[in-house]
Amino acid sequence: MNETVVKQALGTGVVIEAVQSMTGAESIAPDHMGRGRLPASGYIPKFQKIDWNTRQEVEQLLYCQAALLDSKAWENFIDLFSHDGIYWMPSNSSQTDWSREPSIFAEDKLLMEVRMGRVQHPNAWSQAALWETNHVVGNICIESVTDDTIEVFSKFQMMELRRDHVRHFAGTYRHSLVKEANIWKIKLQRVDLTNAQGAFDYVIQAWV
Amino acid sequence: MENQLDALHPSVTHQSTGVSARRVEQRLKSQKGSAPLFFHYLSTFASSFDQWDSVQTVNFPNGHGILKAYMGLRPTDPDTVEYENILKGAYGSEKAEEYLSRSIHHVLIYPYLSVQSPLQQLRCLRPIAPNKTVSEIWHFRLKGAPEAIYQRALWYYNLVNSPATMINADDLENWTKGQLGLQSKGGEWVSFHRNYGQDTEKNGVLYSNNGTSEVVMRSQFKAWANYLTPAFKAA
Repeated sequence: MNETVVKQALGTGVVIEAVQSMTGAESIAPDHMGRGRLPASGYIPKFQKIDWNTRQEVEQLLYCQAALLDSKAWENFIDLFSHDGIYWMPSNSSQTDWSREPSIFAEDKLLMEVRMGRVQHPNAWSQAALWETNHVVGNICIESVTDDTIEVFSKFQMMELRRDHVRHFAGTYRHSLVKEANIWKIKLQRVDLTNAQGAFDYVIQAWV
Repeated sequence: MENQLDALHPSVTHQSTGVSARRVEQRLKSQKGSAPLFFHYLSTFASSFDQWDSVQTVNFPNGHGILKAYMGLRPTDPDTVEYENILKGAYGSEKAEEYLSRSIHHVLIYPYLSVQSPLQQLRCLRPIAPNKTVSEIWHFRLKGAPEAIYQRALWYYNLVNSPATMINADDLENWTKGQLGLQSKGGEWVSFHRNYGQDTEKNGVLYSNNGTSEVVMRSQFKAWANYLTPAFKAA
């Protein structure tokens, strides 16, 4: 095939101007897929300047809670809550009412007591398999402080070993603290699990 | 799926939660005169074998079946009465009574669907592989029913069926062990002989005389064998 035949076969090319060179889909219609731009989602904490003593007190409470969970010190864990305290893990981070929407956990102190009694029972079969957890809490951000209330946002990572399998859970804690008999207690612990919507290989047995 | 109609396992498998819930329920009753209904959902799991024997299973051909009611889910509190009146208004007294008096705990549509109509729960087991199954659980809001009736469904879901359930956790552990056992070189047979020959048959339907009869498993595995046989023959 000589050069002339090739030139004839190719003809003259076109030049695509830069402004038109978006992806093909964009050049047809910006939102032809019916998907709008995703808005920012999730909870963004309100950063405040907080005095060092308060900060230290709150940090110690959070670290203590993590240690109690890892040690399976359930009674002490429940004692961290106020008399009307709630532990809530919604199934979706857009939920706002612990008592009226489907949750992963929605427990007052009485239900916490049922759970504790259950995991401690010698015939709780799910407890026969060895399991351990390791919690790390960080990114602590105290959002508001009054004389008897504190709102605090934090992040957690939890590694769980069950038999020979490792699972990884992570998410956001939002603790609402109240002062009860001069001690900070948890009135509401909201746990937004990043893997809340994932399929679990096994159910969660204890508070995260 | 055998689990859904099996009246023998709850007081063994769910003993830990049943006992723990009963302790709190009884304390509340003695302190305040009553306890929220959802403690009862949990505490009835730890009923005695004699009590479980009084519950009946109805086993249809092809593995389908019913575990009849035992939780006493037709109380006479104002919410239930209101709901029953709405139902009567919508369908007439006779139909409403027919719907309300159906004695059902679980209805099993073999081999994958379990309907718990009194508490508006639906369980769907989706097989992924021989050693992997997804358990999907739904709960429903009844159109036009009082909010309190939805709350009942919601709390049953939260406590019994959520991904942090205090009930299903022990079922799952036992199934896992069963699976591990069957994968090992142990016994190749699982016996389902309990009350064999002691059930009542009427027009191809088997009614248990004892709630804990393993007629449930026999009926389901008979159906399963029927499904598998043509495949084996073809191979």
